[in-house]
Amino acid sequence: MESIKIYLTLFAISMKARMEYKTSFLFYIFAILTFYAGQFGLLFILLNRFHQIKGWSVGEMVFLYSLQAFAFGFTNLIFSQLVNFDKMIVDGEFDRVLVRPLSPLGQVIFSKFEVSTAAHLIIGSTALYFGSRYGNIEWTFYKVLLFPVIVTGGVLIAGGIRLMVAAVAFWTLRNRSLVHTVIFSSKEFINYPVDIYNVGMQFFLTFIFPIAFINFYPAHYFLDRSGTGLLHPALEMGTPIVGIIVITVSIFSWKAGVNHYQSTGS
Amino acid sequence: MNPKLFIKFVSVSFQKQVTYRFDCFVGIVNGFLYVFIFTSLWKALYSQFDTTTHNGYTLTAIVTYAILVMAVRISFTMDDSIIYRKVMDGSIAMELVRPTSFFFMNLAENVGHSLFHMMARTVPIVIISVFLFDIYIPFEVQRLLVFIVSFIAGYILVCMMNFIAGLLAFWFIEIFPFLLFKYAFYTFFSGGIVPIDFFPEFLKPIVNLLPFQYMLYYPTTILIGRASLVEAQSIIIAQLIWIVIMGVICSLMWGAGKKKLIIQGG
Repeated sequence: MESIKIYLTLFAISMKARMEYKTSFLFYIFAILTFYAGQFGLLFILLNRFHQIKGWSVGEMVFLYSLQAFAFGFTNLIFSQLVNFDKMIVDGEFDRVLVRPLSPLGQVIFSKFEVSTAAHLIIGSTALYFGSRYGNIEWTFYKVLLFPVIVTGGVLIAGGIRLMVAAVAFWTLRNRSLVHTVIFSSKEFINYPVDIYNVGMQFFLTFIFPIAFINFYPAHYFLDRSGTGLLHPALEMGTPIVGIIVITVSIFSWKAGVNHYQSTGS
Repeated sequence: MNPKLFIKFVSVSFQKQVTYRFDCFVGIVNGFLYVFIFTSLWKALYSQFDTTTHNGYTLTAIVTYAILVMAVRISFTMDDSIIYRKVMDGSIAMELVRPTSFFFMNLAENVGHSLFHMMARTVPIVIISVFLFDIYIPFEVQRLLVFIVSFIAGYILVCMMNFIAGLLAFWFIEIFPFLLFKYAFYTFFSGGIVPIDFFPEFLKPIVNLLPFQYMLYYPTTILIGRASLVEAQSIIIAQLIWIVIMGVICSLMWGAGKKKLIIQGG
């Protein structure tokens, strides 16, 4: 209990630090929104010309995007420090974390608050509204109930992947480019419905690097598209389970990393 | 700036890149990931229609465009936060007392960086793509020569864009949001993902007012044979006009920035 209080204090401090420059904060949010607007704009140009992508209409694509925006928004909030984790190792800052009587993972996670989450939530909510409207989603009781569960599952998947790739730094020290590719570039895969890729890639994004569970599979359920995907319909409900598996595996690899860790001595 | 010194700076910057060999391998994977995503996307879009040509592009032509525009873009890789870091750590002061032009020194640093990425990433990605995808490049000596001129002009424009964005560090403490804006505009308006031919009519006047299409879109259309050699001439003239315009902006900003420069002690 006592440690939870300390985590919350850490969290509050980092939040205060970020809010210190209010204009810069708002400007940053605006820049992120512009970035996504650009990405979205290109998608609209394509859909305007081609009407749909493999049977996914504009509304359905927007809904796909909203699930992704929510999942990555909350992932950024919680797991943001892991993006630059290798710097903590290289600078020797991680040594400080180890000597404190708190879980190293907890300290790392609560040491940074990422403002981009606000931007993601704006995008996610807007996309959810338009996606529901033009994707003709009938919001039944179960769908409303399941939505946060699916988003949580997505956060566990995306966060677990971040944790795992951050843990690589325990062995390799600097791993910035790997982190960039695995965390940011790979997101690009699920900007589009996963069934546009060849079977091998679909298999990869389902079973090996399971980001298809963040939006593609659960979207089938919300959009009542059951049976149109390549694989078994049961996968539509797989997100929470896959999330738990990914986060468990990643915590184990993190712990293995901490045990293996030898300070750089800097 | 004397050419010998320029080449010296280029080679130092090139060698700095060579030290990160693992990063380079990941960089190839990262570039190929984008090639894979966008070729899959175009194939999916085209497969929905019986017509084989859209906005003047056959499937082979659009796949070729997607691969080569990415190849050009990767060749243009440079570190856009060099100036920002120099302002932050105060080493910009050293640049001010040097007898060489800051712009050309910055250019040399970028060229070294980009040459490395061209050899270590662009070349392997293009070779792999030639084997994996159905692509068509017209091999005419004259065309290739004209392309190289247009490619270099595009490169200078990208350098100038980054220089302008970097100089903002003289006025603002935080420039990351500006870099994000720049990235968003560059990605959208340069044709780096969707060629300008697919843009709706109402966007074309805006595209034509901005320099971005001369960075990636036009050089690529020359390479893939979409622009005739006569058209290529007017493309290169337009590129030169933009180099002059942006050059004036660069030197005005540099002049004003030098006076404004505030260095945080440190």
